[in-house]
Amino acid sequence: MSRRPVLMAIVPLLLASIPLAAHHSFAAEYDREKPIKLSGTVTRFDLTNPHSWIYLEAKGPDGNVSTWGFETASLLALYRRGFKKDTLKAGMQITIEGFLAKDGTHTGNGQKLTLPDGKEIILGTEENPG
Amino acid sequence: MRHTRTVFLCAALIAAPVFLHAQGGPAAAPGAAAKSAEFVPPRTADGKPDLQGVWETRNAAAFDITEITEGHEIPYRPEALEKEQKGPRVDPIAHCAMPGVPRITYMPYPIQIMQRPGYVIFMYEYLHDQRIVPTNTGPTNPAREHLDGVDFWLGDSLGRWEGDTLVVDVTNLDERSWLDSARHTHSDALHVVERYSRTGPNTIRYEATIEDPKMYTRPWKIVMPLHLNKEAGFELREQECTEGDDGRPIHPPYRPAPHGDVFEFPRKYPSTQGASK
Repeated sequence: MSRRPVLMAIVPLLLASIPLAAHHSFAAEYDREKPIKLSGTVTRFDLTNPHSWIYLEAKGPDGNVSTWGFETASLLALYRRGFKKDTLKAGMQITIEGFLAKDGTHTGNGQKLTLPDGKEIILGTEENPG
Repeated sequence: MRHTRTVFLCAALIAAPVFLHAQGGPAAAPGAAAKSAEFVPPRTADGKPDLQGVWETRNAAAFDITEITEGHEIPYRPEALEKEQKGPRVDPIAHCAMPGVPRITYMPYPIQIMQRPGYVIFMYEYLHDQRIVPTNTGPTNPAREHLDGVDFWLGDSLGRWEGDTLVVDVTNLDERSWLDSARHTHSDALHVVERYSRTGPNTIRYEATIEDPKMYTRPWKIVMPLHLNKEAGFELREQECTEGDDGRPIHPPYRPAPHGDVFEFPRKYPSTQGASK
């Protein structure tokens, strides 16, 4: 009986690790120590699996304007939060907050999106909530 | 006048054997001969035609859909054909993408159809895909509509029974799928209407009308039989596809092209190119 509290503590930990293993891990590609916030113009939005992608032209930390790509949650996760194919269209002004990729490319993991009307949508996957 | 009479006589002679043939046989009543040839399908407990079983195609349409296309030709718009010829050259299924509809049906793998009241369930051995089709949709249930603003590889399927035929209306199809390995393509406006009819104890007639005003000048049709697999003890098994079977890591970065209006799969792993290039 005395073991039960230990089991009860371990089981949720085991369960919690399952969704992390189901996709490639955040930690393998992105750096939680490097948050980034960019405002710019949407060039492309792919509402797709396993994860959706948002591309925008924006001025990076180095001051240069270029295309940035942000990985977000899956198609269904975004769809169930109200996203549609045309939620983001080329030319829209948006702000994205997220974390930079470790490989130094202009790529990030999107956590929060701000639409032109000020509405905010969580972009993160369930294992990496924003 | 004489000439007219000759024609009339000839026509009568030609017509006579047809008439005699129709009169022959046990079913003498008009129309009965044709009706007796129709297969009466077995029924499920709720009275619907029973389509259940493991079915398979025996054709090569997965490689070239024109084999089962009426007229063997796809009525492309010239500009659509030009776009297709400039598009991606790697079959999406080579990267383990789901084949789309109707291609999933003529992939050379068995399909198990199961029925529950209100649903027909298609279990595809190929990549363990599935379609759970509600059958209470259509004119009798206009509130149940296709989804808005989202596409899937296998689309959104709404079913209904028309007599003894299962009709499945499919839209919301991902524009990246191909109709076959011969690179016959479609756009995001693809609309497929499938018809499944039992034609015998071991056959289903599969017919699909393919409509895509961005791609084709008119709707066109494919027709093929599905054959019942009667092998004793046959069961669907796992048919998996993972990129990386050649030793490369699974789940390579899936980064759609940032520019252009056609999708390109990454050619190599690892992709060191970010979206900025």
